[in-house]
Amino acid sequence: MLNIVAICGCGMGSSVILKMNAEKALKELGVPAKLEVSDSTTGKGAARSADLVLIGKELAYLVRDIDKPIIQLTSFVNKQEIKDKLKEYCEANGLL
Amino acid sequence: MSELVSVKDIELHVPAANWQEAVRKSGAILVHNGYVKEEYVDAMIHTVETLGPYIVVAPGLAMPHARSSNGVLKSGISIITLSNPVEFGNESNDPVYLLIGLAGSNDDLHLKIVQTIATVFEDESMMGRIAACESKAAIAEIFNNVEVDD
Repeated sequence: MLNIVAICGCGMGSSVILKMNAEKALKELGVPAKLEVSDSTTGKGAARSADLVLIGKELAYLVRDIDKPIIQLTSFVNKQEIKDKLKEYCEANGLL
Repeated sequence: MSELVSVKDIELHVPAANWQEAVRKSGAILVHNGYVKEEYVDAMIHTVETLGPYIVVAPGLAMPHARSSNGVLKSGISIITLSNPVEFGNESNDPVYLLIGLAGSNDDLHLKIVQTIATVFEDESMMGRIAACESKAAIAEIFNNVEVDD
């Protein structure tokens, strides 16, 4: 089971969209995963205990010193972008 | 069931000289409709000032918001189209011509609102359609007719 955290500023908006779209994409890819959302204050801690971090490009500085794989997204609503990047990660890590 | 978005949540062709003014106008609707206290609007601006222009979540679309603890009274939404686009400083997604102000109260309604937004904008043509829309009722209808799957 892949543990993923989606991070945004307040944990209210964009991270919720990221989580939803990532859940759909991983379901389509057939990769079991558990997703959580986090915000700018708790994000670092959540990132440390996750396998993979999803974050908007403009907020990536929040997790720059975290030694975890990080997927940066430019558009939160573009399902194809998130699916392509998750697929690439899963293939590179032997999950697909 | 009550509708997610009503015409009172929407303003069209709003003039704004810069991103701050655009965010204030999206916030003013949230205040006016009783979703947030006035202080929430300052927090919406503050979020961008402190964390950066990440609220521009897709090309042309900003989703200004703050935390529920910043003065949210109940979950709700505001939708404004701008008469002239503004720059937030987001390299990938500027300029912005549509703002969806969010007031989220950590409840199912907020989740439903965010799911609806995500579903609406999955269709890339929606941005252009909403921006060009001359009717508040037509925009409300787009959001209210979305079927959210889980």
